[in-house]
Amino acid sequence: MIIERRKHWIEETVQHIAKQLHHPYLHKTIGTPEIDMDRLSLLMLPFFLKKTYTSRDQSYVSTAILIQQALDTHEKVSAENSSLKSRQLTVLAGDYYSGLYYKILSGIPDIELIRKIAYSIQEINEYKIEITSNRCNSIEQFLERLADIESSIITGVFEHLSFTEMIPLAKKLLLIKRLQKEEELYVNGKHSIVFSSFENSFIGEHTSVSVMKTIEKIIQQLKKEAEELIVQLKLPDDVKILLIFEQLSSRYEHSIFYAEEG
Amino acid sequence: MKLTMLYSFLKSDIEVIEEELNQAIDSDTSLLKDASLHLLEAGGKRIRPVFVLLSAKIGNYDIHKVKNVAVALELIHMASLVHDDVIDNSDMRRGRKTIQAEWDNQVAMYTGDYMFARALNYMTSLRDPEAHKILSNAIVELCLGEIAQIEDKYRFDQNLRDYFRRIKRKTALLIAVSCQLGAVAGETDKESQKRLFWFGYYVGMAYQITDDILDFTSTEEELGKPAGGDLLQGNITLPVFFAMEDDILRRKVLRVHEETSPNEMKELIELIKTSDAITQSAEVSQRYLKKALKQLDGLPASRAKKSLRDIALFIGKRKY
Repeated sequence: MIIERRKHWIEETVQHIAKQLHHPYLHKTIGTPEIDMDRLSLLMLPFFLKKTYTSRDQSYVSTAILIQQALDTHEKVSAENSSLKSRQLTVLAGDYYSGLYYKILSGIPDIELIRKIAYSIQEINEYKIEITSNRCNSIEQFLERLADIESSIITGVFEHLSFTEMIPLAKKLLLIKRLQKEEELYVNGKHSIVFSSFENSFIGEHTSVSVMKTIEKIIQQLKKEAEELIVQLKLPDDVKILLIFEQLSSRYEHSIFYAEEG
Repeated sequence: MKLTMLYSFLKSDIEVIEEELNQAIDSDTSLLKDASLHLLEAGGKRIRPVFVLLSAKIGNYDIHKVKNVAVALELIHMASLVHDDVIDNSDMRRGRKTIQAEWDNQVAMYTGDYMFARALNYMTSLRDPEAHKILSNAIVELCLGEIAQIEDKYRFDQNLRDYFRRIKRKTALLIAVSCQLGAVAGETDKESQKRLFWFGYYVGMAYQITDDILDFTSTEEELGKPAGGDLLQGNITLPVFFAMEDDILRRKVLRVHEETSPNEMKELIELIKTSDAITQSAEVSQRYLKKALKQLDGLPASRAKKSLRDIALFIGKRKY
């Protein structure tokens, strides 16, 4: 029964976000972005624990996903091999999703969360510039910045909703996910900001194998720390299975629905 | 006469806005600050802040309250310019290299997003939920207008309604909400807020139509880009709609595509310039200006009202 209810919440939220993201012309030309189910399940975790989820909560979750989508869409602008039209629409799609975040929160209205998320966007862009222009002095600082880039929006929402105990776990899981994504890029011969920063700034005598080993070691350590946090948070097993097992076993391609049915 | 002369009594308040804009982009991340400052120092008309201030002056004017709205509107405009330069692959703006040309697309995207965030931060000092509904709706519409502009490129079977909806979204709405939000921040009555919204809306429509006319009638030197650039890029503007009422011109316009030669374009621009299309477009612009001025009739007499009127008339007469 509880699992069914959660599934319903997730489905409804996915539909709500998909409806917001859908724009016929953008869909036809550059496609509609996929919803990040890992991030969505993380955002919904406190509501699963609280066992309540109102339409206002759904707006909060949708907003966090939309603004993340806006920022991620803008990341694609500098990607090579895109046509002029595709680049133009990618810029505008990101701007459009940003506008939607503001519009949804204005509609609630929740001016304080508008302010908090605006601060997160500001911080994320400052950190992005720092890591892409090699302004970090150490691996630790670099990883801290990367974690903030990935988690600043969720952190803002969790703080606003007084779910602060979830922030350290969210930060670790999102950093693991980002590092694994960077590994995938690197392995497939694509540009990875993490690998290039490690190669150029942080590891003196390096080979691609040594960089890979260093990153893998960091991921393993983060997983261990995340597992400890899960124990500390005393998450019930039925909630854990929705999210954490997926994350820690690196099977991101499996959506939350499979986890529930499995 | 210079535009700034029309609101010279706001000089010290404009300085407050400039100072606040500098503060707004004062990031600890030096590259971000440099990029933002690069655009800020290039200047600009600051017409949106001016509309905010003048509209607020119709009510209870408090520069320390109003400045946050004025700064927010200018930052949103600046953020959209930074991203527009990525969209258009532009190298120059206001006589300076664009951020994407000086640095790269990635820095431009981050700078635009940063400015947008700073704008919302300033805006949240205004706790009136209605103000946020107004602005967020305008921002979404602005994006939809820009997307529609790309969708409508070289679509010669579009109608005038498509054009007016496009310019409403891309230009008129942000000017309209600048006036309306100024009135909200100045705590004017609802009727004045409504009048100021429509004043800004009509001025914005007239402004964009004039811009579209000038794209044909100005020199390359005045425009900072070749004349007729809009049409070459597939943007069907009001003068083109009127020109297409003539069969010969219509056939020539329908042949325009991205690779149309400069000579062919030059010839077509001359034909449009000497046709009735320019006069007819100017008449539409004037009609919008008249509507704008009519909205001011219902507002109490004041220096601010006079300035709003003068700015509207200036926009109607501007040559570049």
